[in-house]
Order: sequence, then C-alpha cells, then structure tokens
Amino acid sequence: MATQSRLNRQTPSLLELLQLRLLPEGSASALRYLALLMILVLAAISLFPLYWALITSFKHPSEVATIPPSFVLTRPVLKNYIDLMTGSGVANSPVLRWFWNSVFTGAAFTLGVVFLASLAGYSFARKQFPGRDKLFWLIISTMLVPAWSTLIASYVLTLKLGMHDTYWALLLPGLASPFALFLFRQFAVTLPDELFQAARIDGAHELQLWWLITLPLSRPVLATLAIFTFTYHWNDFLWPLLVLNKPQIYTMPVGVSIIMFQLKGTGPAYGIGMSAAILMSVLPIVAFILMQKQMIQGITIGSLKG
Amino acid sequence: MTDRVDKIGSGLRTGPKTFPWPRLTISQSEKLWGYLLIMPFMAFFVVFFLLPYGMVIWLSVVDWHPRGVTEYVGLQNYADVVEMPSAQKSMFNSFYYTLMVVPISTALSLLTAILIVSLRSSSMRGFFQAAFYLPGVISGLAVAIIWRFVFDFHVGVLNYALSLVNLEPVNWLGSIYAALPSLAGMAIVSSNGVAIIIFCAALLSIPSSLYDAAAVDGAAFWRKHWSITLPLLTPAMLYVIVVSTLGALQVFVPIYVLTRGGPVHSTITVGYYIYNQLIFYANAGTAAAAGLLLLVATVGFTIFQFRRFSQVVEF
Repeated sequence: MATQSRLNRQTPSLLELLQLRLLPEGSASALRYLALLMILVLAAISLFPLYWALITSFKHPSEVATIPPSFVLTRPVLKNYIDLMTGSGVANSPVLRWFWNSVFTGAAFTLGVVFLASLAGYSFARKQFPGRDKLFWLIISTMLVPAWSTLIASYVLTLKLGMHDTYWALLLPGLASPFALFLFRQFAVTLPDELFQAARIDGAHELQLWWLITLPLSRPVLATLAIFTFTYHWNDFLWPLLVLNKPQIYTMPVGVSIIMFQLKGTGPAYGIGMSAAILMSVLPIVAFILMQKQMIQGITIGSLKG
Repeated sequence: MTDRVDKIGSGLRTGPKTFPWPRLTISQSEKLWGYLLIMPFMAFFVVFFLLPYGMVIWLSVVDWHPRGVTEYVGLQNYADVVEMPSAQKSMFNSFYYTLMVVPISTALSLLTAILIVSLRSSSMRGFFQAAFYLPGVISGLAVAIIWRFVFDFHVGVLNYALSLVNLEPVNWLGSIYAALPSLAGMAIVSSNGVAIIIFCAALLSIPSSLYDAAAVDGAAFWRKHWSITLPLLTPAMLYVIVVSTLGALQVFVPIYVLTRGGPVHSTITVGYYIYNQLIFYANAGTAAAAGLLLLVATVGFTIFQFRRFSQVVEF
C-alpha cells in the first residue's frame, strides 16, 4: 500500500504534462476543476440506473410510475419486496427458494472451481513436465473463443447424460475454469522457491506442499478468486436458463426473468422488477465493497501481467 | 491373518513400512506429480471444454432431434443458416451492434481513465475507480430489468428528460430504427468498469522518467503522447478491445429481456438466433452451424485486431 502511493506520487498526471506545453500560466487549476466536473458527470450517468432502481424499489407501487418522476425517496415502504416474495399474482414463484438455490449453487461452484484451479495452478506454476506450457496456453486460449459455439454442444451433452433439471448440468460444465487457473498460476509462480525446497528437505509430501505451503500463502488470490467465481455464477443467466426447467430448482435470475414476463401493468411490474434487481445485486455489491482492492488487482493481473 | 501380514512384511527389501513402489528418480517423480495434480482439472476440461468442440462440429453436419433419428445432412445446416433471412439479419445486427459498442465504449473508458489518473489524490482515484466499477458487478439481467423501466415510452426517465427540453418522446425499444442503437447505448453506459480499471492501471504504470527524458530531448506534448503513452498503452488497449468485441458479438441477455429480437427482427443477434434455434425449434444442427460461423468470425476479428495493433505500434 505504501509503495503503491509512493509510485502514484511520482507519476505525473496527464494534466500536469498537458499544462507544461499547451496552457498559459494559471489555467491549470481551472482545467483541473473541469476534469473533476467531467468525472462527476460521467460517474453520475454510470451510477444513475442503480440509484433509480434502489429508490424505486422502496416506493409504494402507486408512486412507482408517475409523471413527473420523483427522484428522491420520501416515504420508503417494503411493499414491492413483500409483493415479490409472496408472488402477488404470479403463480408458482418461490423467490426465497430461488435465492437459496443461487446461494447454494454459487457456493458449490466456488468450492469446486477454487479446488481444481489451485491444484492444477500449483502444478502448472511449480512442476516441470513435458508439454506443460503448451497445455497451459491451450487452456487459456479457450477464453478467446465465444461461449455460444460450444454452448450448443454442452447443452446436447448434458441432455444426453440425463442431467437436465438437476444441478449436475448447472455445475459440472463450469468447474474447470480457465480464468481461475490463469489467475492462480500467475500468483503461484511468484512464490519464493526457497520455501518449497526447505519444506521438501523437511520431508513434505507433494500434496503437503500444495496444502501447507501454497494455499496459506495464496490467501489473497484465493479470496479474489472466490469472489469472482461466486459473483460470476450468481449473476449467470444463460446457462441456467438453458438447463433448468423446473420452477423448484430455478436460480434467482431464471426465476426473476420468468416473473418479469408475467407481470402486467407498469406500476407493480416496475416496482417488483426494481426490487428483484436490487435483491439480485445486494450480494455482489456487498462483496465488492468488502473486497474492492483485491478485485481491482485481480482484473489488472489478467490484462497486464499476461 | 497375522501370519499373512508377517509374510508380506518379510518379503520387503527396505524395511517394514514401505510398499514396493517402483523407485523413481527425482525428475520422474516431478513429472508424475505434475500430471497427477492437473488430472482433476484436465478431466473436467476435456469432457466439458474439448469434447464439446468435437461435438459441435458433428452437430453442425447432422439433423439432430432430442428424441429422433440423427442423420447426416452434410453442409445443409450451413446452407440453411446462410439462406435464412433471420440468420442473415442476426449476423448483420451483431456486427452493427459490435461496431457501435466497442469503439465508443473503449474511447469513453479511456477518456474516463485519463480523467481519473489526472486526479491528484490517490484516494480520490480509488473512489472513482470503485464508483465506475460498481455497476459492473451486478448481473446483466438486473441491468436489463432496470433499463426496461428507464426506456419505457410512457413512464421512463429518458422520455421524461426529452419532454423537459420540449422534444418528442422516442419509442426507444419499440421502433425498428431506435431499438438496436438503444441497446448499444445501454451497453456503452453500463459496462465500462473493467476497461476503466485496466486503463488506469496501464496509465499509472508508465514510468515518469520516460516523460522526463522526452522533455529533455525537447519532445512536444503530442509527440510525447504519440511516442510514449500510446505504445505503452497498446497491450491494455488490445486486451480491452478483444474482450469487449468478444462480449458484444455474443450479446444475448438484454435482447432476451428487453426486445426478444423484435420489433420485426430489428434486434435479433447471433446469440438470440442460436438460442431460438436450439430451444424453440429444437434445431441443434442449425444452432451448431451458426455457432461455428460465429466462432470463425470472432477468431477473424481477433486476428485482425492483433495485426492492426502490431502494425500501428513498433516496440
């Protein structure tokens, strides 16, 4: 953290560079305020939909779709959330059940993905075997191929294996994650070799090197990986939509999309829609707020150190 | 029982507790463990990543039905895709959408990143990076549901804003001219977080000594940015463009939630076309052929982008 801020201070901002050559004396601070203003406007545009959904979800259904719209929340009520949970007019919509299904499958994905990726990532980073790097880049290159091209085959495959309408169809195709492997391997490569040699001299077994040395040292990257995996599958809509067809086992996004198609009338539909959108967003947002430093680092690892 | 154990024990050469494993040299055991540790991952990878590549090629040349007879039809599926008006329209729309979204959102992200990096305090920089990334952590479905309300013809905020400046309301999602650009606009506004963070990191990683050296050499402002900032930003730029092109060519969720391909196929994309063929027409063969054509187009795009960038910038 300390190194980070020292680095930042040494780096001249583009505006500082700009003012050196292009601007007369004294205009720098005006330009700085202009830049700040532009950022504020852009940030407001980018955050507005979320803000709008949040306040709309707490309005009374009769106040949701009004002209002119009210941009501040005067009397917050939970009516939309209660309507969403109790199904109000939409048959067979156990929202809490779907929420739990999403938590459960998200946790299962997280455990499975982190386990497989850390085991294989450790091997790709620290073992020597023929074909290692070719195999690694083969796996990574599948990230550049559109998911749609193999989705059809995965659909037919899981159908033929009789997995549709079970969580096996949801989980199994997502467990070997090239992104997770990449992230973990890039981290494990940087661990000091002395630790592994010392542990080997003390008689540590290969699995102990993974479990007792690599994993404890990888806690930051494991946390990042867990958050990314959970959020990705929590948000995933297309694959569960394809393989889950029984309302009891829907995940939250599939269930919500079904509700949205059945709601009639703008007021209740948008009120319930916004509360569903907020309910789906709470966990990812809380996770992001708690872990933003790790997540932002995780994003840049993929692009810069590759 | 004890007799047998004793017998086995006495047969061992190296002591009571070792089992007669073949003795391995260090490099052999290194290889063996290397393969063993990647085995669980590779098992899933082969079955659910590599096998589908083979299957999709097979599916694209057969007439496949969930409960019917599968027969070989040669290139018929490809011919169907190429000739079907909805498929042609979907390819056109996907490229059109990608050409709207990728350049604008990349430029907007770069502009935002430059503005963020130019802020003096690093805590402000962190705050704005988080503020721009935040809308990106919520699901595409939630975003689409929210925008359905924003786009609404009668009670949406966009048309309310137009009415404030005395403009006619626009039928954002209901007109064949506005629908696809509306969806592109939504994507441009709501999916810049990752690109902004990548550009910020890339801009901050440019060492200031390079600019100092250029200043000593008497380089002017544009010269400095043309020769230093732009080349050093290339890897990040390439990454952002490749990834966002990949995403835009596959767009599905906003189409499914907001327009369902309509009105009159004006927003049907390749992703939505494949979904329709697979789910509504149970026509996995045509879907597979379309999926492979998408794959070829995407790989072509990616290679083109890599070439372009290696031409523009010489390291």
